[in-house]
Amino acid sequence: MVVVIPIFDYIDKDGINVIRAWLDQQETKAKAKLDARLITLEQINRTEWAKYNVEVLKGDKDGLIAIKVSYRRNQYRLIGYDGPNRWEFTLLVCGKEQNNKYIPLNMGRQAFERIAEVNANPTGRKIRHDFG
Amino acid sequence: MISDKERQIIDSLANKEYREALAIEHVNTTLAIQIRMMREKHQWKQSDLAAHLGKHQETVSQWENPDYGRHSMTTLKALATAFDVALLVKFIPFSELVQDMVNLSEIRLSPPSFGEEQYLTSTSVAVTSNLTEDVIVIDANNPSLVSTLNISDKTKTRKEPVLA
Repeated sequence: MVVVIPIFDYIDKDGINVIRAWLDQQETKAKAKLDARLITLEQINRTEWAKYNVEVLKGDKDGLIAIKVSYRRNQYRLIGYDGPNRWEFTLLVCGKEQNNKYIPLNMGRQAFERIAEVNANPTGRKIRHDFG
Repeated sequence: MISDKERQIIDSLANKEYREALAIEHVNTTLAIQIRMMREKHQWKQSDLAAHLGKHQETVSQWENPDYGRHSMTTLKALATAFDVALLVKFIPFSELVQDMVNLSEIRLSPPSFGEEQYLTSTSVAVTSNLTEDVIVIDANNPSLVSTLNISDKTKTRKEPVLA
């Protein structure tokens, strides 16, 4: 069974799409690479994502899911979760990995806080991912 | 009718640096996915494919990494031979690239081998596991709306290739 699911972006209490805002701050070529990866992931079986540099995190980020994209010497990390509804994936926070640490250091805590916000208001705190 | 996703991608193509990078990344990502999907369809391990091509398993692992991006034409031709599929490399306008980007599917990513195509042509029915698989597509605007496509049905409506 193939299940292709939509990707959403977390939006903050002011209605800002923080995922798009972060992507737009990145170097143009890196942004293109990240956008292309998301476009592709959204069209392949959700159960196959793990084969393409998508990882379920452990430790203080237990259960969060990182989309890992390497560009030049930067290790980009887009963290999200399967939710708030069944068969949805929502991007929560973005950053980079350096020396086995996620930057910003509070990515995990921020992601969990945002999950709570999205779960409490599934229609108001997420929006369909903006592909570009 | 053009989708929001297509419109967003088309709008972003105005930036030359962006569109060049997007095109390259699309190639890199889809090649990696195609190689892995076709290998798995053949039920080969990475080491099986590597041995077939006289390469190391680690090399196949690199080919299947969407971040790799250094596939050579020689490698691609050898892979096409191994999977018994055709390799098509051509220059296209960006409008066609966008169409390709938003219309990926299992059957396009993992095309049938020549033998599978011959069988399909002779029977007019898709029978391989990949071709008969149900695809659940979630409606982004209403997750409760789920459409199920049967790929075999779609296949039947396609113009099937005529093989010599």
